[in-house]
Amino acid sequence: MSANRRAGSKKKPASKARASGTKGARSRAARKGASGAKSKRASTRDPKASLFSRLLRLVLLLAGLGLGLLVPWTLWLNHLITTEFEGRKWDLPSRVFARPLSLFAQMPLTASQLERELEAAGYRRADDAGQPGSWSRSGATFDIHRRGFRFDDGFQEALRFRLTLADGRIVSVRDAVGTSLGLMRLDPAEIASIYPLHEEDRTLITIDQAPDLLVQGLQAVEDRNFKHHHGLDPRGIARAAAANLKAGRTVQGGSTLTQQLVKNYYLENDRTLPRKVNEALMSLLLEWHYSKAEILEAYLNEVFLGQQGNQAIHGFGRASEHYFGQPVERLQAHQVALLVGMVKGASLYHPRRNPERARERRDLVLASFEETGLLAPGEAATWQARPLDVVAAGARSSNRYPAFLELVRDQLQRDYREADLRTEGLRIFTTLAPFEQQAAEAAVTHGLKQLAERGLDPELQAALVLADSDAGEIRALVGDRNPRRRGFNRALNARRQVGSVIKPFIYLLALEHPQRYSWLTRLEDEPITLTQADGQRWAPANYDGQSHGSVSLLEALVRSYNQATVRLGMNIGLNELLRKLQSLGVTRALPELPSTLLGAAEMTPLDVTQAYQPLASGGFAIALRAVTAVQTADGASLRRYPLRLDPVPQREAIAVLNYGLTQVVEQGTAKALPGLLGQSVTVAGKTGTTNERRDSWFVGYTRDRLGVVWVGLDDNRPARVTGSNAAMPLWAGLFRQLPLQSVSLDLPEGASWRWVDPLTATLSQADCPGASQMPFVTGSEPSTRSNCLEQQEQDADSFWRRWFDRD
Amino acid sequence: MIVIELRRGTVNGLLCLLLVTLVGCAGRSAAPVQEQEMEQRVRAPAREDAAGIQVYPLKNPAALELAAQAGEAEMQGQHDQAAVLLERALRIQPRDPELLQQMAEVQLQRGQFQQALAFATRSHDVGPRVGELCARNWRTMGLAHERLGQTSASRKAEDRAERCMVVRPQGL
Repeated sequence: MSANRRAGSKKKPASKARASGTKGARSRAARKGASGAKSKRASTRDPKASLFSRLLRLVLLLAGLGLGLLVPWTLWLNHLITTEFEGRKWDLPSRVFARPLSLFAQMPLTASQLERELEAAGYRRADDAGQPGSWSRSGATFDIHRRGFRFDDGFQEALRFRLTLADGRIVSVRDAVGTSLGLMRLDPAEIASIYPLHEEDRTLITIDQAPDLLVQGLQAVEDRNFKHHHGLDPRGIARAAAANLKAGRTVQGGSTLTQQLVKNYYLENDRTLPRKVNEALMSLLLEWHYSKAEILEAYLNEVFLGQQGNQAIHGFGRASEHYFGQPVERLQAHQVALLVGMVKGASLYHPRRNPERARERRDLVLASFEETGLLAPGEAATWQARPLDVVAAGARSSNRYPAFLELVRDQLQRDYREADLRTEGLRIFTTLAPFEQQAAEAAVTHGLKQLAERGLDPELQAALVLADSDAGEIRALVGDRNPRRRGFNRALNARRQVGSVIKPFIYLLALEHPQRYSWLTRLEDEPITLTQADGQRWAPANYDGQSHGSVSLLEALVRSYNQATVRLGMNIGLNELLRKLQSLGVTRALPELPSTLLGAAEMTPLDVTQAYQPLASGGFAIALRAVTAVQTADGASLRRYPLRLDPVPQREAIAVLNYGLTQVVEQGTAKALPGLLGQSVTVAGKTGTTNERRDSWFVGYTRDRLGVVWVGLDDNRPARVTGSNAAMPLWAGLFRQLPLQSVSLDLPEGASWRWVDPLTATLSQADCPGASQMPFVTGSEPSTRSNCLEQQEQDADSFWRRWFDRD
Repeated sequence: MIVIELRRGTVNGLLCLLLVTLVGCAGRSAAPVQEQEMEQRVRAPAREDAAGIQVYPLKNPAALELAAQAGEAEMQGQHDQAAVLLERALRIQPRDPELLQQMAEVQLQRGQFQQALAFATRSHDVGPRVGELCARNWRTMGLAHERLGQTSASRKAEDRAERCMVVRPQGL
């Protein structure tokens, strides 16, 4: 380099002069033709030697110039190529998966639920379930071909199986030869991706993963001489030109795969001459440094294959997932042909936007596969008869659950940096149940429409949380009246007063003191005036404006009497309530004011779900989860979020409280619920309404599902809503679509069922008038007997006496 | 460095020995429960105690399949894998006392003593509270408390295990 420069500078003046002289001679020679060579000057020197030396000097000069300019430039390009290509690391979006659907005999499931799950998981309905990722149905029998999938507990192979349904249940799950299968787990729906900031969507593949037909077919169509050229292929350009001329349109491109890769990888998309030169040089350099396989693998991952919303799809890995719901290994010939055809123009031949053009192009590619011997003679025609076989648009990864995804991000951000989520290609396993999510969305949209029809504000907003109460896993989440809208997520972020939804925790505290309280304890439902911390006086009224005098603890809860509840709460202590909520997992600080006893405290729907989860699970607190596991891009386990239980003390009081909440539904403020549900199951629930009817809440749970619904207006205006007129119908709209199991009323140690006479708060018996059975924490049972019970015991007593006194 | 750590370990050990009669050795030093110890201290005595009092709850075949796989993983010493499989089984049958107890035992072997306590407690809450399962519940809790250095709670739990055959449980 430095030697060159020195030599150049020394000879500079001389070469300049010679250069002009040579140039003059050449142009003269050109003008005068061969005869001009025989000029007068020729006599002074040997003409042949002179021409030769001039030509030699010309070559040397050009070489010198070339070395002076081209060499540094080439070296720079070389540096660019090697550093970028060797250190190449694509930013990979993280993939987010729903919970996998497990299928087993006797499991409650309807055909439409199953179809919705299959659709969400990107399964394609076909005449037969020949290919993984497809299914067929005949009556109540489904043939399903599940895809292979890497779960957090290992790889699960693709498998074809048959499922029979009857009466809303799975009757049998059998494999291809009819053997009964105990448990069948489908691969999960891919519900979202977290994209790099430059919005490139990509799933990396190795060249070994790509089917032979793809690797060879790509060369057949794009670059037939790929194996032999050194980056550029003049013959290829000529052949392409000839083929295009013959066909009357462009059927082949002239650029080699290497050039295309260079274009995609390093260069701006302009068509200037310097760019062409760069492209050529870089192609030669790339071929000099790297093997054909390395170049092809990079190409397979880099090539642009379509736009989906904001995301650019790059590479065959993602393209096959996106268009066919299949990993690239599984593609069939006609699918390979479509993708190979799309290389030429991904939007022009987009199978969803331009299906006819795409099909034409695909058929042409198939023909060229056959022509080059990649397909047997006549085979192309068979594949050409096949439809495009692309999965429905948006079946995969269109981020259709924005509210849930926000929760996923919240949970992940505790352990991962945003940048890693966007670029490391993590595989994130979540708890979302696609079918339940769809049911929840429908319940909110439809429910609000009905409320508007009944004269309520058409701008009413709603939020919904559905959780598996035993596992603490969020199954569905809705944060807006339009569930697909991104934006303010009320389920996570709307802090609203909770009203009577807070009351059960006061009653729980009471039940934890068995010496003082049971369901039969009398409370005064009478006017009460308290002084708040700010000196203001507070005189809560009941919903119906009446005071009800002496009422039992159970009645006060079931009918949601405010005055009785405030008296109870003041006896127990405000601090106790705040501490209790904290111990159940509510992290939000609530105001230490008497009005908090009636729910003048703001919580989000998710907070409320967390508070009720230990009740719904029978006394085991679990931090609510949206993510269960995270893997690296190649399937290694990175982190699990396992099921962790935290037993709450005095679980017997929770079990007794659960009975009280079933009575709210059976005979109290939520007694319209069974009619709305249309199923006879025992549900525990609580309504909530706030001042001037600004907020409507309903919290309800069955044996395995806990649902929380809020309805109100964003600007907190009075909305004429109550717990039972707005949130409860939405809750019922969701739960009536789910398989329901009655809430468990089994009691743990420390509580028992007793027959009592509620009016006199005495022990009674099944056949006594007015007797009812209810649970008591040990030590809180009535100590006296009802007249009826005493009478019966006397009768029994006298029976024995008579028996023994007979003689 | 190694020497210092060794010495610290020895000091800890001595302190433990010193304190064991008073409060037991708490914290990091507690080792996961080995398969053999599990058999000797939880399962075998529970079987013996049971003496014919048995409750066999109906089990879902899918959950059963997963529980069997978890059992195999456990036998091969793959306790994390066993826990993952049991978690799947519990998603299908969250209140199956047998599954919960199996999970409690796996947690003992993973050295997750709080979780062992929690799952055994839940199994007891929803279980028969009598017979072999009851005894396994309490023996698991006893062992977990012991490893956590909670000696008196551990003793109480072992006592309760004895009474699984004698005392009629409340609330039934």
